[in-house]
Parts: sequence; structure tokens; C-alpha cells
Amino acid sequence: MSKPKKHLQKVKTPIGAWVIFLFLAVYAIALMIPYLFALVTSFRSINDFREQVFGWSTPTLDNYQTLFDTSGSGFKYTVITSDGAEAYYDFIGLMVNSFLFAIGCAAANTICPCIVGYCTARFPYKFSNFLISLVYVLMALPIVGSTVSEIQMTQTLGIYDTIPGMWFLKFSFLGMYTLIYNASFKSIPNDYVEAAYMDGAGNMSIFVRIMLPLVSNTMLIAFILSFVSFWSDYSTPLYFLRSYPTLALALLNYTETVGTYATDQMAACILLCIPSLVLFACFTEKFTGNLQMGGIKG
Amino acid sequence: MKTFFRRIGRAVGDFFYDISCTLSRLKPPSKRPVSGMKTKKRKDMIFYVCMLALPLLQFGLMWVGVNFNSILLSFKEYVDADRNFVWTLKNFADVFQNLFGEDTVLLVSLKNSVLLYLLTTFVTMPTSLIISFYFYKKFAFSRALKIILFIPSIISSVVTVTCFYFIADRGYPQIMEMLTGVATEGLLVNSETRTPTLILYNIFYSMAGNFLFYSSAMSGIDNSVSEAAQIDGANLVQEFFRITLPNIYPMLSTFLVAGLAGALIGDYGMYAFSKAGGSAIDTMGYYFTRGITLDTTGQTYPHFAALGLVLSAMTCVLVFSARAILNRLDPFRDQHKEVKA
Amino acid sequence: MKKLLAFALVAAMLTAMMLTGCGPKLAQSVDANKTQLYIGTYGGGVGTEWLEKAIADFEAKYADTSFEEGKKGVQIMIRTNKTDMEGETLKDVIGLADTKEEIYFTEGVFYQTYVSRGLTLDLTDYINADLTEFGESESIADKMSDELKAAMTVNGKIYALPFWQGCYGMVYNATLFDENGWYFDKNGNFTDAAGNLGTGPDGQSGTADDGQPRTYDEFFKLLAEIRKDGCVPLSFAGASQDYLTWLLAEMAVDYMGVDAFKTNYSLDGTVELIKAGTADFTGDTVTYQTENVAITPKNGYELARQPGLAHAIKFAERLMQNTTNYNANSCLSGSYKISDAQLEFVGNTASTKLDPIAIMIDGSWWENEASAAFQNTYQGSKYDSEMEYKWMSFPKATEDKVGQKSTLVASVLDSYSFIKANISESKKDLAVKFLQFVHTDAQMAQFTETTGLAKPYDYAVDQTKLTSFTQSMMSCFNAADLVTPMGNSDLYRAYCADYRLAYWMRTAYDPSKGAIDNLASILTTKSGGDYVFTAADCYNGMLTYRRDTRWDAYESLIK
Repeated sequence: MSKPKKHLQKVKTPIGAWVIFLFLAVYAIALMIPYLFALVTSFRSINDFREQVFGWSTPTLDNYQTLFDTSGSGFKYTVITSDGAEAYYDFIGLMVNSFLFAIGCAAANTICPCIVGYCTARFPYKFSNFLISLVYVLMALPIVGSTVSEIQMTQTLGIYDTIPGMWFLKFSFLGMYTLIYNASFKSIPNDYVEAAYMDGAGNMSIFVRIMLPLVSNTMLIAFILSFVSFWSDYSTPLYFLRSYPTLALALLNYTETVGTYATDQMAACILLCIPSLVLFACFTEKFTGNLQMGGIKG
Repeated sequence: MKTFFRRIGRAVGDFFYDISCTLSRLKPPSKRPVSGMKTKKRKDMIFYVCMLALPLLQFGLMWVGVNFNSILLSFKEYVDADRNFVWTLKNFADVFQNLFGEDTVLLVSLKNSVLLYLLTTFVTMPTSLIISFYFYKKFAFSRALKIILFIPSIISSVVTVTCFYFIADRGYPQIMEMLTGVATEGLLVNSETRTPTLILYNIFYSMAGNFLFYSSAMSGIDNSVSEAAQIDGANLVQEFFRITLPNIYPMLSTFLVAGLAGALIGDYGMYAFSKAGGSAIDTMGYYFTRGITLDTTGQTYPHFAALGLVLSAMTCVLVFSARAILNRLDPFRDQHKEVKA
Repeated sequence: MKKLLAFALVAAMLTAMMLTGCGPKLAQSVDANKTQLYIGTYGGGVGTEWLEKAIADFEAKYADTSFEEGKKGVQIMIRTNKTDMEGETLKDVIGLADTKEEIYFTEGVFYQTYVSRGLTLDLTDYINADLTEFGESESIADKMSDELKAAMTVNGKIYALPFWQGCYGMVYNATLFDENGWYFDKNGNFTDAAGNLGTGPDGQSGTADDGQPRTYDEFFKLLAEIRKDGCVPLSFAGASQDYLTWLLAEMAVDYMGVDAFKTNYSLDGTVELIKAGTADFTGDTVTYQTENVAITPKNGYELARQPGLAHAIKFAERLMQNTTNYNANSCLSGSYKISDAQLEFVGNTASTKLDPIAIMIDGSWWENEASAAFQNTYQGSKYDSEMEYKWMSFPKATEDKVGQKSTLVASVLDSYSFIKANISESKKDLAVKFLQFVHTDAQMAQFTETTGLAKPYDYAVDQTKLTSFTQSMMSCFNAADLVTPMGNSDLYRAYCADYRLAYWMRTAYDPSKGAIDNLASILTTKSGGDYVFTAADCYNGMLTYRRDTRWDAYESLIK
């Protein structure tokens, strides 16, 4: 069944706003120039690029082929295994690490606030109020520069330099999403829950089969935004995941490696961007829309 | 796509529900749960505790434990590679000496971080607000522009920095030579244009990212308020300054205060710039990243822990002062007080 | 049903990806039927191709020999890493029980530090043993000069072997020089290769440097002429601006000569220094009055007043503060790596749009390192190049120095080969055997043919297998006095990292910046369009740095 067309209410743009539009159009084009430059350059040979930095020439896939050729200046990241042997991650290996890291951390970053938001909303214990107050207070309390302590703590717990360890690191309820989930769950009428109890459903069934679907939109937005953020993140792997490098960290390393030309680097940049852009294309409205906070738009 | 994920979610939920039903049917009738208030309360409590166990464990270890360790670490000095240590105040002494000394790397980094924060916040904020207002009013091509402006936020800063570096150092000279016929140095090559270019990069790309927050805030304004203003003859400028800004003031001040928390520790892309080509302004975030990644044995961790604590204290003072000032400046202060009451 | 299928499809895709890509791929997998030997190497410009060839030869030779019960043959595993294998980093981990590597071919090694910490195996007996197992009647010691043996001997023993011989310098495109007539005649005018060539810096006709600029003045005249002919005179990588610093330090060494150079390490001798307050940097050449100063550990910082250093700084100022001498967007851009500079140097001659580059500042290893540049330009190796490259002898600072024998630093990057001291007894013989193997004449010749670098030993090389660059470089080295940047005083042993040649140029030119040695960056700093710092600032800053920063730290050792 096809979706009904939205009735688009035409808004008249006053003349003054067209001035803003001109500025925005120029700004938008300027923002896109580096990425278009990367895309075009990734299909040019280094000799063509050296002769004319901005330009177009016969496209070639050589740069992409170079990335996958691990014998030369290919896109790879060298690590030392636990028994001291030298090993490397090629592009596929780095991509797998990136997916494991990004999906796991995004899931952790989505599920934990959801759980805490649900428990504090649906179970009116004093501890629930305390937890929500704690979230508010800690959001306002700036603790900076604790990375070194975090590194030591993860080393002590034995989760340093492991991908599941990073999932645990990101399994935190401190943040805006807990408050959003809390408000969302509070706004759900009790009727659903009571009906479910009458049918013999337990707490877990209610949570999984009734509550989660009702906040699925929020969860999806949170997951997608988190995924994109973790996919692009290089600082967490840089500090905590030296043995399981991600694509972003490998690209950071690649840009300073001798022997990598500008065209190779641009090809690597394009490959790194693809998953984020695909997700953005599929879920554009989720990215650019507003998060619903149970009637309070936030 | 939405339906596809909904189906997957439902399949997972059905799967676990089926298992729990099967397991409960396996229990002898005497052991099957019987509804009752006491049983329900007990079950609720068990569920509550089990669900919160892992999040609280994570919080206990990775927030409470980390910050406690941070405090302890700042008073340590490692004497050998096995992390044997002595207690000392030397780390704090070093930090204060460097932060309040003459032109030390720390002081320069701090100054640059504050400068970049002020520029990226107060220079970009008016522009971002106007952009957000444009989108809020759904003027021409709003949707398309919104999408384009959002793209840099989803692309890794490594990519943006690398592309920018090549354009600034290789593309710009070529274009200038084409236009003027004079050989020109790259923007990051010329020592006079290097720092301004790095600052402009930050301003340029932070403008694009902030509009979403302001747009979200503006969409929360009741439409009837805007309509009433228009009926009374208010033009767009008046509506912007007298209706929109005051109404989003709470969100605006929250955003400013939240941004302030990262003011002193911001990296502003400098680590990525240093990797791409070496040009970077010393910022506090860059100082941390550079120092921590170069230290493979952890010997300098106490120094960074002490520095982190000092910066946290400074940031707390800034944040609470800013909140107090912004609350005083709230144009709807009385109304907000009534709502709270 | 559909849900299950969709779920299964996504799970299968993710599983397949993980199974194919999961986990790192070993650079080399261990062969359980052979004895393993682990090598650590810096890589860098030398690369690993020479080592892979040596390993292939060694493994083939001992394919049927048992070094361990139940195993036959040897498998040599290489780990190449610039960070982990760099001498100053390596010294903290080489002695650890879990460090796998047993033999090292690396650089940045301060030999005296390693010896004093007992990190390397005593090789004396093995160096003095004849290499009869490899068909030679000589020992490694027989191939070493007396000076080299003396430099490497500590308390009568030798604990490492010099790895390669080379330094930073200027490589020039001889084909371009021939085509454009950029040689000097005896009157100091330009002529072509067939003309009445000038003597070059060595002051003698009929030698390899004939026609090359004899002095700094002639050198800058050459750069101007090259620019006039539409070429880029000089280039180096902006991401490696320290190459210029290394070059300047070596030019300073060339000025000071062997005796003064040695005094920098012994801190015992009389050296001619610039009288305080008399140095005048305003002209094209530094002018000054000199005095002979007796150097002791207490006043060693005065060596910052050596004329060679002043001349080198002035050279840097003349070079960097005239942007017609180089392409600023290459030499000052941090995104311009060595590989880009080499591609420019090699590839611009094949382009119709880009100006050819006449001279490049690089190391003796550059041809080996630039294999990608040759591949990109000629779809082949350095042997397929249409251009001929040669090593330019260092011009002399002043006319009166023309004719003084060149002094070159033999191994500017402190490169050594050694075996770790705590190698297991069962592996020691095998490791020694391999170390001896790579020092046979055949293997050393193969090393030179592959890398273009010479080894500081006496061995024969087939000149027809060398490029014109390697031949010209070797002839320069053969014609020079070679010095080893190493001392044996307590002060040197405690602070040898400070004696890294490039650090001689360290200057505290601006109190707010601390000391840096990147003269290219300092001298090109601008404000309002004008250069902020001069050679005089850098020179004065050198003394400030040595006296106020370094010598303070040395106080406890100065007697």
C-alpha cells in the first residue's frame, strides 16, 4: 500500500529571508567542497592530481586497489599480538572491528538509558527519584580529564584493549537520553500495563513486548545517532583499543604514513564515510527531525 | 526500512516470550506463580534490582571508581616501570606552576582552548540561531539545506580535516595563482595565516552542527504565540527577537552551560590536524591526547590526573557562575519561577 | 517465516564478514617444523628488501640443518617498526623477558648507553672469528678500519656492528645539470659538462666534484641560475623539515674538520671559536673574530660558538628567506611527506606542466626509499630512470676553505646491528651465525646493490650493478675523512641523546617557545609580511640553549 502524500503547505519566503537563503546556499556549497574534492580526487591518478589539484581527469580505480593491496602502501594497521608476533588488519578486518565497536557501543548507549529510564519511570521507588536527580546533577557537573584514570580502571578490570570492554565502557545511563526515555515512559498510560498483567504477562514481557515498541522510534534515533558517532570516533580506539583498531583510527594513522599519496588518502576517506552516508540516506528524517520527549519537544 | 526493523524486534520479543511460556509450563502446578499483591511487589522488586544491576555496576566502576582513582592518581608519583609509587603534591605544584607561569605550553594551550571556545560559541551562535529560525519557519529549500548542513556532523573529523588540509595547502595556492598570476603560499604553510585558518575551520564547521539543537528548541514554541504576534503586525525580525529568542532561552542557556563544560578541555580537531600535516594550535585537548598517546608506560598519568582535577575545579566554577548569570538574564524569569513552584 | 528469513540473512552476512575478516592477519605464520629466529628492524629508508633477500639465502643454505631437536631448518621472522625499534624506545624494552626479537638492525642507537646497560651481546669473539663457514678466510674485524674498531671498542670488547654508512646531503639531477649547463668553470661562470670545469669544493681538478659549487656564494648563484632557467632549484619534504637541520649540522662538521669534531665529544682539546660579540650576520657571509679556547667539560657549552655552526645558520637564512630558492608549498607544508618530495623530484621531469626540480635534500638511502616514485614515473625501478642522479659535495663556507678535505659523518643516524644480551643460549649460535652471514662480502655487496647504501667495511661491489647516484656517493665518501658521532666520556654516556647531530642546531631563539631545532620553521616565521627571526637570533639562541638548559643538567657530572 503506498504512503499518502503529505499535503505540503507552501510557506511564502519574504525578501529578507532570500538574503539568508543566499548565504545558506553559499555556506552549504562551501561545506560540501571538501567532500566533493575527496570524491573526485579518489578517482584520479597522483600524477594528474599533482599537475592540477582541482580538476577532472580520466577516472581510475588504482587508488582503491592500492588500499586493498596490503603488500604496498595499502590501508592496513599493524598490531602486536599477545605472543609478540607482528600482525596487521587489512581493510575488511578494520571494517569488522569498526562494526563490532560501533554497533555494540551504540546498542549499549541506547539500551542502558532505556532500561534506567523505564525503571525510574514505572517503578516509583525513592531510589528512582534519586537516580533521575543524579543524572541531572552529573550532567551539570563537569568532570574533565579523567581519561588516564579510565585507562587504568579498564586495565585493572581486564577490559582494556577488548571490544566487549568498550561496550561496557559505553553502557552508561548518564546523559540526556535517560531523561528522554524517562519522560517517554511516564507519558505512556497505565492501561496497557494493567491489561498485560491481567493476561498474565510478567515484568520482562511487558517491558519487551509493550513498552519497547512504544519507544522504538526514540530508540532507533538514539541508536543511529550513536552508531554514526562511534563509527567516526577515533579517540576511544586510540586510548583503549590499540589491538582492535577501527577504520577511523587507521585513517588517522594512514594520513601520516610515509608513502601514502593524497589520492590514496582521499580514497580511504571516501570508504570510511560510506556507512555513515548510507545510514543518513535511509534515515534522513530521523537524523534531522526532533526527538519526542513525551509531549515535550526537545 | 522501519517495518523491517519493527519485524525483527517483534520476532526477538516473540522468541523470548515463547521460551518463558514454555519454561513456566514445565514447572509443576504448585510452583506456577500465583497472582497476588505481595507476590507482584516482590516480583517488581526483583525485576527492578536485576534490571538496574548492570547499569549501576557500570556507574560504580566507571564513574565513581574512575573519579576516585583520578583523585588518588593525582597524588602519586611512579618511581619505576612496575608502577611503584610515592605520595606527593608534586603533580599539583607542576600544574599550577605551568598554568600560571610565563608562556608555558600549558598556559598557551589553556588560552587557545578558551579563545576557540569563545569564538566558536559567540561568533557562531548568532549565525546558527538565524539559520535555525530560517528552518523553523520552513522557508525556501529548508529541507534540502538542513540535510546538507547536517552532513559534516555525521562524517568523521579525520576525513574533514584531511580534505581541508589538502585544499588549504595544495588547492588554494593553485587557485590564487590562477586568479592573480602570483605564486601563493598555502594557508597552513604561511605562518601568518596558519593560526587564523585553523580558527576559521573551527568556526566554519561548528556553525553547521549547532542548528539542530536550536531548531529543536524553536519547534517547541506554541504556534499560537507566533500567530498572535503576526496578527499584531510583528515582522520576522521582531518575532525573532521578541518571541523566539526569549522562548528558547532556557534551552539556549542549557546549551551554553553544557558547552562550557567542554570549554577548557576541547581539542578542536588539532590532533587530527597534527597527524594530517603537523600544523596545529596547542589546545588543552590536544595536549592531553598527545601526552597520553605518547606515554606507553603510564608514568605521566599522575600529571594528567592532577591537571584534569584542576581543570574540573575551574570548569565547575565557570559552569555555576554562568548558570547564575544566565538565570538572572532570563527574560521570562518570573514565569519560569512560577512553573517551578 | 519472512521475519525469520530476514533475520537469518542479516545474521549470515555479519557472520560471514566476521569469519573472513575477524582478527589480525599474521605477517608471517610460524612453521612448527623449523627453528625460529626473530629480527627487529627500523625499516625507514633502508627498507627490508635487503633483509628479505639475506633471509632467503640463509634459510636456503641451512634448510637441512637441525638447530633444535625435532626440527630442521630455520625460519627468520622480521618485525619492522619505526617507533618500537628506534634506539631510544628499544633500550627500555629490549631486556624484557617478553621481547621476542633477538637480532636488531636499527637506528637511533646510542651505543655507549646500550653497552653501559648491558643490553647487547659481546660480539668480540665472533667478529674476530674467520668466516670460513661461509667460504671466506677473513673475519669481520679484518674488514673494519682501525678507527672503526677503536670507536666500537669498550673495555676491550665490541658489542655491536655498524649497520650502514650514510648521511644527509644534496642529491642533484645530473641530466638536468648537463642539459642546462649548470656547472661552474674555473672563472666562476656557468658552463656545460664538456666545458673547462672548476675544481669543485675539493680544490682539485679531475675529481668527481668538478664543476660543482665550491662555496656557499657559488651555491646560491647556482640556485638563482636554476630558477632563471625555469626550474625549481631546491626541494625537501615539508613534513620532514628536520632534513634541512641534519644537512646544516653536517655542513658544520665539514667546516670544522676531524679534530674539532672529535673535541665536541671528548670535551678535551683546543678549538677555534668565534669571539663573543664579534659575529656579524648582516652580510651574505658571517664575519667574526676568532680565539682559541681550551675546551673542558666545564665550558663545553662554548662549542656553540664554533664558526662552522654560524656559517651553517647563515646558509639556512640565505636559503629559507629567499623563496625563489625553493617551493614553499612543498618545503613548508606539513602534508608534504618524503614520498611526495621524492615523487616531485623524480616525476616532475616527466611532466609537461610541472617545473623540474634540480636538487633535493635527502639521505643516502633516497633511491631505495623512492621506489614508489620511480614506479609511478617510469613504471619500473631506479634502474629504469631516464634521469641520472648524483651526490653533490658540500660547498665550503668561505673561499679559504676550498681544498680542505671533506669531513663526513659516517653514520649520521647511529645505525647498528646487534644481538640482545639476554638471548637464550639455544638461539645464540644461530643468531651469531646470521649476523656473521650478513657481513660476508657477498651479502654486503647485495645490501649495497639493493639499498644503494654502503657499509663501513672493506668489501668489493660490482660497480655495474650500482646506479650513478650510489657510485657518486661512494666516491664522495671514499674521498672524505669519515667521523663517527660517538664519545666515551661519562658525560657523553649519560647524555648521548643530546649529541644527536641535528641537536647541535638546537636554539632557544625565542624564550616563549623553548628550544627547537627546526631552522626552516624559525627562519620562515613572518609577521606583517617580514621575517621575524634572523640567523643572528638562532646563533645567539644556540649558546643560550647549551649554557642555560643543557649544561645545567650536566652539572653533577662536570668535574
